[in-house]
Amino acid sequence: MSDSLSQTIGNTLTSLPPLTTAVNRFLDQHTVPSEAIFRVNLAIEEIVTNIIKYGYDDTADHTITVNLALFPNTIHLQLKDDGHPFDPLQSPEPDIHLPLAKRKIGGLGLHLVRETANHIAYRRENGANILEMDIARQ
Amino acid sequence: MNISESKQGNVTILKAEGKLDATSSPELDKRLSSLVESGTKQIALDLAGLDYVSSAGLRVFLSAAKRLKQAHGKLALANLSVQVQQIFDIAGFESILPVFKTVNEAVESCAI
Repeated sequence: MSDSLSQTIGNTLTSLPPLTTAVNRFLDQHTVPSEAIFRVNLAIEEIVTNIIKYGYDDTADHTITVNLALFPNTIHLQLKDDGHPFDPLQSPEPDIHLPLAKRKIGGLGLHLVRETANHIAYRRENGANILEMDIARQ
Repeated sequence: MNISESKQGNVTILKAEGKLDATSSPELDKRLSSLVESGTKQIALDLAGLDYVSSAGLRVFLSAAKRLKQAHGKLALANLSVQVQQIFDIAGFESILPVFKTVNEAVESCAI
């Protein structure tokens, strides 16, 4: 059984459920604990929806590549898209201490990913955004 | 995701099970907003069967709480799984949404 998975999807939100199904099947096959599956699902959902909603300056079809590789203690996740340059590590942190009336609806997704991943790195390469993440396997 | 509805006194209890993600969250959002629009003011959410939540799901809880506050109503959440609780902690939701261990406690807090 291969320890890596590569999926390429179109830039539509309807691509997400089949992607999640494929990823979860792969993680289940490798008996990855449910806590880690949760974190991988969260990272993929938040980043991919962000790319689909805000990543492009045109209405053309694009592809997003999701690569997963399993290591003894970590799951390595790589996301690649050809949208405009966007470094999620530079997006402002939401103020999570504001009272209900002042809380903005939205802006939490990247915060959740930054807090649940062990390590995140961004680079722009040959016109593509490449986000690399290490997520704890246990 | 599965959503089922019951009542205890004046409090409407919505039980949400499965995954609350970008795909399923509009369904719960619609359900909650139509309850508030039709005059329901006390809602308890039983999340015992909820095993996944993303920011799309948090958005649903936040907008329901805002709508109910405007309508002078109350929202309470109960039975968060360890992982959903972790997401709430990271998002700082504990300070803005009342979360209880049991549905009965959530119902009582709404009924007052």
